[in-house]
Amino acid sequence: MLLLCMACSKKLDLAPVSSISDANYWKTPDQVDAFVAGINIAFRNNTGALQSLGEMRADIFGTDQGSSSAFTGEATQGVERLWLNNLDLDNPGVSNYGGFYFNINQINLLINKLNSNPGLVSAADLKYYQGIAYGMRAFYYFQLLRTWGKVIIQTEPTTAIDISNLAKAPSAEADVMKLIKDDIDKSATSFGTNYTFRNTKSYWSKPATLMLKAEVYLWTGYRGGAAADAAIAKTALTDIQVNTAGLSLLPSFANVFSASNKGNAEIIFTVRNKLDEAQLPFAGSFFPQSGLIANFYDSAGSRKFNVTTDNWGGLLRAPVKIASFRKFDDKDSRKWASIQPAYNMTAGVYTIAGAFVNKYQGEQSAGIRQFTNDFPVYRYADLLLLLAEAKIMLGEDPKNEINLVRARAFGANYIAAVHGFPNQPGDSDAKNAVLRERFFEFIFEGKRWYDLRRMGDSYVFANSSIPSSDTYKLLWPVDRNTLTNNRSLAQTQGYPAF
Amino acid sequence: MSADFKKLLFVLLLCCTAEWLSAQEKNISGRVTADEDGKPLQGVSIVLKGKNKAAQTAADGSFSIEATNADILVFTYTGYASQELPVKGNTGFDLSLKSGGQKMDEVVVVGYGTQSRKNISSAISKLDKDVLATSPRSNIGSALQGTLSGLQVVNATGQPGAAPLILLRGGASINSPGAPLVVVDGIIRSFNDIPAEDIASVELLKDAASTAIYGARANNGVILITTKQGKSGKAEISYKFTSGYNKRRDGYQYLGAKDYIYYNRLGNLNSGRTLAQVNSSRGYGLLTDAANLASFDIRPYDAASANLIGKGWDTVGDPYGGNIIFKDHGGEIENLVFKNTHAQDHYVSVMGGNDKGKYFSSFNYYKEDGVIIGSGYKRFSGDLNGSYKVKPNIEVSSGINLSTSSQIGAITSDVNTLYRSLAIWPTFNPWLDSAKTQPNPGNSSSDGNPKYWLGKTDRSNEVNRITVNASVKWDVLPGLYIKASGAGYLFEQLDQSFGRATQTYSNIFSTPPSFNDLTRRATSTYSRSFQQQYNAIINYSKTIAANHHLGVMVGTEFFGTKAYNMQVSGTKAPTDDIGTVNASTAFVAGDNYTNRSEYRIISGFGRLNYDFDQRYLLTVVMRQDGVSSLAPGNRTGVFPGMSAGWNLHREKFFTRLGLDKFISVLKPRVSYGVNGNVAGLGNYEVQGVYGSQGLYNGNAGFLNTGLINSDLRWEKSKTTDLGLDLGLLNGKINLLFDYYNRKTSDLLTNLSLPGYTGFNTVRTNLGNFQNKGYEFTVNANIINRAGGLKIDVGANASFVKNKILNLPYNGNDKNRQGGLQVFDPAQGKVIWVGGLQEGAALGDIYAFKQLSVFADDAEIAKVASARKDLVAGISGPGVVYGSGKITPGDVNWADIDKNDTIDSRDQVYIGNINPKWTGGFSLNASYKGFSLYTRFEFALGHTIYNDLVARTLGNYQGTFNYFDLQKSAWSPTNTQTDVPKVYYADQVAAPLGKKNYTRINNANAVLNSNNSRFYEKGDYLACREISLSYDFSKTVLSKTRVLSQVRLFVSASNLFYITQFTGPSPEPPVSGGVFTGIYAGTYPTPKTFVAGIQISL
Repeated sequence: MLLLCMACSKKLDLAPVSSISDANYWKTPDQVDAFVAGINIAFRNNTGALQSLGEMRADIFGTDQGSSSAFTGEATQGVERLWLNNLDLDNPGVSNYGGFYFNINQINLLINKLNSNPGLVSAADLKYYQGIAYGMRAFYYFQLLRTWGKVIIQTEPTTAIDISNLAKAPSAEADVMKLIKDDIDKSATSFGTNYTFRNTKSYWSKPATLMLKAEVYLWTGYRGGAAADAAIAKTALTDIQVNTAGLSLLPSFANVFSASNKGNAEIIFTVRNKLDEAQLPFAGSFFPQSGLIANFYDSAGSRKFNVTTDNWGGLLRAPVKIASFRKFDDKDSRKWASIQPAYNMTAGVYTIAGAFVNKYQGEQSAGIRQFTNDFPVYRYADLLLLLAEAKIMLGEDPKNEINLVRARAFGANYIAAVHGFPNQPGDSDAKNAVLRERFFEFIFEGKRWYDLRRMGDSYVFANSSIPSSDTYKLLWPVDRNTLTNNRSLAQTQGYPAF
Repeated sequence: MSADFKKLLFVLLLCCTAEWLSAQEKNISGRVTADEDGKPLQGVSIVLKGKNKAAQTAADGSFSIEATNADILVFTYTGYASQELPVKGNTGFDLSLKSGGQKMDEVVVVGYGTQSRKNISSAISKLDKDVLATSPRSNIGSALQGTLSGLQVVNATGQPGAAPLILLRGGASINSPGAPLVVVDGIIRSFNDIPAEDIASVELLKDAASTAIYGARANNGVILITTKQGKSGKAEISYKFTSGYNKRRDGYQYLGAKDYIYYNRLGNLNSGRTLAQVNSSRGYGLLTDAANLASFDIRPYDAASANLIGKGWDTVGDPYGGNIIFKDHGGEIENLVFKNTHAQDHYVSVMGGNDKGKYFSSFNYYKEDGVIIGSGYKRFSGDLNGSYKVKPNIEVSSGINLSTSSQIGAITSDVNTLYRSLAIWPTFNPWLDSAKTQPNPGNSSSDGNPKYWLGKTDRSNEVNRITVNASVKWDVLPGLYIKASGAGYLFEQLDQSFGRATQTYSNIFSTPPSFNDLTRRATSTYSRSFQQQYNAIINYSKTIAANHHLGVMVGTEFFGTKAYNMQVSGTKAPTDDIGTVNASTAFVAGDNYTNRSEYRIISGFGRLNYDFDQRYLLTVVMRQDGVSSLAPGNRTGVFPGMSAGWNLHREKFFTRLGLDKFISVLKPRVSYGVNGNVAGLGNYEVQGVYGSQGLYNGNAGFLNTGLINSDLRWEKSKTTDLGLDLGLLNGKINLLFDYYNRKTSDLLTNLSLPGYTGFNTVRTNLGNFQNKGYEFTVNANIINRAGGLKIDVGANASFVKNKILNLPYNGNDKNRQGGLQVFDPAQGKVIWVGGLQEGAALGDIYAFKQLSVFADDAEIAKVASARKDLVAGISGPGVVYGSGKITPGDVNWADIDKNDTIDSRDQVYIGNINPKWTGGFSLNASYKGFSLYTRFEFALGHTIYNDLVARTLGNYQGTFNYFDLQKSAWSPTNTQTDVPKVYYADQVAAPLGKKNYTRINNANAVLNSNNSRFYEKGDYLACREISLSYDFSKTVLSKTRVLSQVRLFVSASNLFYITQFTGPSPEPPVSGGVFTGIYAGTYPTPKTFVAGIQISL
């Protein structure tokens, strides 16, 4: 009987037909190309986490009028904990480190395979892919560092699981920052002089690495690096300006985000969404139910919303605070392009009821609104305002950069003497002026919280619901499962551990 | 396999041709009658034991056969106890056969063979044939409910045709319990779509000694189904017709529009919502746009609307002040969703044969509409099998079984139907016109008139199953035969759907009217699997020195299955008129696919039966399996089983002591064995997977989604079973008892990985899991008067206890995975509970304990003055905290750690989701031609979180209706109650909600951490069947000269549950093949009433 089976054992060797096993991967250049596309898909899958980490805890979202539900009546369903800043290990806001390690592992695998088999792809692709891999990895660790402080450093791919040796302790913040800077340098070196974009700017590129570099060095600049780091940031940004062709501000602010204007001149790096491919993951909680919004009015358009054109099709979990809407100048095109207010009308008088996101309008497809807008990660306005920040730190005049952004925003309404820097109220504090400008410019792009954090703790306390007594809340709590699955981790200092 | 096997066959052939036995033969004749009435029996089979010679009795019961003095005549007749008589010089035999036969003598199918119950020493249950006799069944799984000890059978849904969840002995796995292996006539396949009438017997192999013969796949037990085969004797044509009526099971009572408006607006008021906010809500609001005015019959009561009184409208006082006028549409949607339906079942069969050939053929048509609109089941099936002795010692058999069925569920999910459709606004008019011809779509398929959405969706399902088998059995020598079989099983499923352009009520009434969805998705999904099985067995049985009985069987088997799946799905067709994909204009990459996969198992197996004088019984079984889904080196597994029994009642001392007067059977048994399992493992998983991630800017993306896992091996379960067969009072009372201890090791367990690895889980072999339990079966014949009253009762009960013994090491205490932290007053500290922990059971529930509902401010001041409720963000009067205050009508939570703070640590043990005791009992009474059959089933010990009640009373949706239970909620005039005060949307933080129901779950249907008030005991006793039938007497029928049997029957199924559970069905809720413990609304099993007739010629 035993012999009988042995003779047949060859019949048991079956290879997959409709998927690829490990034995067959990393053999051809197209497999590597597909893997790089895969890494970008995984990055796109992190959009929700990037947006949550980047701004949900700041002063943008909230329910108004003393209510704890959206003005349309929809429940916030726990999302409110983000802007109320009462997160804990059972309500961590973002769990499992944003799921970033999934892609970090894939990136590690790509780096490992490219380094061990450089002949796998053409020399040009090899350099470009290495540039992407190191650049993206630095981007992820920068997110992790700013959110949780001490985090685990993993730079090797997981190829086997040693069950007895799974617990791994986090590394000191300084070590994480060192890794980030090393990876940025490796990425920049790999790209070399190649400043070109691929896939209409939806792939990471050398300019993206330089943007990240500027952000990172500004961060460390505020944390003791001072002028030296600011100078590095400034160099990185001007490097992009000098060497990358065709980058500019678009004349129309709204046009930057249009679903039909992907990879436009203002974009440096963006997460690509596309009809029948992917949509913005957070649209559902940013937009109201069509049937409910139809009860309200749009005062600017002097019209009642209707289900045909206002088919937002969401469940409004995260309404925009009316105060956020009111912060904008009426002449600022960004006000209307970013936020949609909704009004009640009684006896011909409009009273504001609430507001929601308008920056990402998606496109109409077969009667349904599909949120196919790209999610911009770096764009030229960001470059200008980071440059302004660097200049301020270096004692230089940020006027040109700030005013380029303002002039575009105000368009035909722009009067330099009124709107230009340093003529607006509050411009006397240049740092604050940049911060405010970034609020107007990048609202819903996942920047606000990090902007506050970058500039310093006092900025966070001044512009969020966190009192200065709760300094521990500058970092995020770690969720229960993550703590359970790795006993070498500890809860972020200050958060309750049960 | 082939070369070696052929050699073996050749050798055996040489051995046996040499010695054909020859002896002096003579003619034996006689007559066989029935014991109960002395009437001749026609078609009784007479064979010479160990030989191939056979004969049958004629119409007058006479027979004749050639035999030698050494031969033994074996008389068998269906429904009668068989008899063996040695020839020993006699030439004439007149005998009578006793009807019924005894349980302890029944023939039991054991896998690659049969055995008499007398000689069995392992744990095998056999389904009582009465269970399948009367009630029509869309799925025969329901017949197993409460009828076989050790088996838990739970209706996951009442949708016709759906298979229940089946678990043997509590399931052998942590992550997914897995169902028993189903073998139908030797073919591994699903039992879905097999008509109950086709089934001859159902056996359940429970312990490892009996299941080891199926080795690798038998971890969760084996259900052996044998379908009817031809038999020698007069041809018999039988027709059975059943017509059924399904009545929906009563659910919760929803409020009428008057109470609905009052309580919802009161809830809004309690939550501090403004009048403008309330009035802009659907259902109880006073929206003034065309769509809402046309769809909701609710208006402010004023001079303009007053004329509606007398036109079926009524008024209600508004808690906000003033009055509201409305029309009550309560129950209208419910009556559209649920309907009472009919089922019909036609079954024709023909069987017959002679001493050379036998045949059986059947045809079945079954149709049943579900009690939820849009759902239904339809089946055609046909069976044809036959055998023929091409030589006196070579019998060829073959059979084919075909079925085509269609099973369609409710238009939205069952949960949506049971929650949303039933709780829909009772002010909503489901019709656009007064003639009720145009349904109002409402806001979506689950929030509107289901007729609209059914009209917009075309759905079809077609499942074809074809099994073909053929075998050759060659009786080489007396006692030695070789049998080779081949079988194919083709499974095909074709699902098609098309969605037309749809509107919501707001689209209909917008100017101009618009559509909310023009996607017009057309999808056609085809899946096919083709399975092949080939096996060959050699069976040898020999009696040595009169008392040593030896039986040996060895065999080898190949099993292979090839799966193919295909889907074409397109959108944006220009018209509603073409419902197939050819009219689509857009095709998305991930929605269109084909894929293939393959899986093989190659096995060798053997069984040795030995008994001495039928006193000492021994069975040894062994199987070796090699499976393609594991890496070479780990892919073969050996699964042995052993069982032994002692027929004490056959000992001389037993008779000497006179015990045989009371005890007819006393057989202690013991068994031990090892089973395997690799179910749930992907066909190529261990090879590491690079899987498609979809598209990025039009480029295909792949990533490494599975690690190479070459070390993975068989999951093994070792079962010890101690049993006792007891027959009392001449077999009038029979008892079967089993105790078992099953330890599953090398369990295929998912270990949650630290996030930094980049993978969520890895499959390991590191778990150990234990099931321990007891099983009892009793069958007793209470009254048996010849030709008069006969009463039989049967009962079975099973107890099971599960425990996790080992989990993969992860460094946590008890290698815990998941779970939550609660304060344990006994230890005075916070401990981890729930999740997976070594030493713990699966399915424990923890939640916040409701001590009471605060009656008034005085009670709050006394009990909770300094309380901070961190969950709801509210506080007592003596402390400043949160966004709201604890007010009368809120829940007084148990503060377990007595720190004046209610947080996640203040949770207590509530119960367990798994039933501890399951079983059933039946009563069968007959008098003359009448017989009454009743069957009950029970399950005890499970707790259910009633999410449907919490969701509805907690008003999670915000505008939906309440149950009448809401009327007993706290109010200033009703302060002594356990139902918290009405708020708008309980799950929202204060001031709107107080999280009195959902607690920390934000309205998600989660098992743990809700309000203890809404966990209910699921213990139930279900009345599964009551049947009454009448058989016309043989005397009457014989006058017709045509009819041999006429039977009329009426039957009721699933009549009632006796339970404290408040919902329609107390059965443990099932989702995705596992118990969830969360009742969110299950498609209720209807009450079925049938009448039928069975005629045989």
